[in-house]
Amino acid sequence: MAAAAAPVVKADFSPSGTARVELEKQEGEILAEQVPYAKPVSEVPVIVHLTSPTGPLQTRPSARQNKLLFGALNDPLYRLRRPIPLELSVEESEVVLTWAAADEFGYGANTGAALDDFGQTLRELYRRLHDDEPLGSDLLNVKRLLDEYIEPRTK
Amino acid sequence: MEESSPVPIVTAMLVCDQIIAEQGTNKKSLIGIFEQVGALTFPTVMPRLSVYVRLLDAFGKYPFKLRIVNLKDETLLAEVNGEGNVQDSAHAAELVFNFMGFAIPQAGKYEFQLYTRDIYLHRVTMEVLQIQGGIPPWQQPQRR
Repeated sequence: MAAAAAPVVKADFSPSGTARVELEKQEGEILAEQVPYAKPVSEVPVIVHLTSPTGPLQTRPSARQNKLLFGALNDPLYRLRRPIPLELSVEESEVVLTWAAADEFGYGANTGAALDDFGQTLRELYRRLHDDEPLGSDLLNVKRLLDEYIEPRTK
Repeated sequence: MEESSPVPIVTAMLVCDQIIAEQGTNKKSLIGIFEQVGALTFPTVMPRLSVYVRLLDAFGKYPFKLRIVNLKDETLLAEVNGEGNVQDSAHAAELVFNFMGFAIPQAGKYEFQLYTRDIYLHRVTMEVLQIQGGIPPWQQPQRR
């Protein structure tokens, strides 16, 4: 039997903070009943009721994106002026993120792990290039590029 | 989020059973923080699940996107979009996503990934375990 395409559940929440996606049938089977619909809590900005389709015969779209923007520097001393454009590729089942302009990479078993690795690489590189050590012309260019994207945190 | 808006950083991102906001103070209480959940059979439905996010450096309007990804094959399980307006950049901003009736197709690791304007900000992982004999793995007696 051919695999049926399973749409990804998309739920947009409204300003009132509620959205609801009905349970979906799976080959005649209905997923277990949910708890009764609760009265929306206005203090909480988002309440989403969703049930994603399940089952081995269904296919889902890949969450991997060929291009993405990096905004997770996660450093107490530095912050991003703007996001860093990355390209994603897969080499020998490992995710590789490439910042082509700086020739820097992040590797990992999945996109999240590769993003963590890229962030670590970036933090180490920034610190190393701002160590007051003399730099060659190539590294000076990388330093200038990094300074366009990263700045010291002032508060 | 406008082009000139600062890129926020995430200082906390947690998965829990429930988030309660106190009326008046709007203080959040996170109930039942976890990273593992057990189920006897699959697919299974989690009646309640919440994701809490604390942001710094944010100011202005931001479109937020929470993607739920199955890490086994990095397929997209669900995607939730919303907008937040941060009016005071001097203090942390909070985001709360409350899910009800969240279906999990199989055991494994799942990731909640937060984006704003397609900028990746942070992730948090949840592991879903198959419970054998009604006893979750973390409660089974250890063998010597």
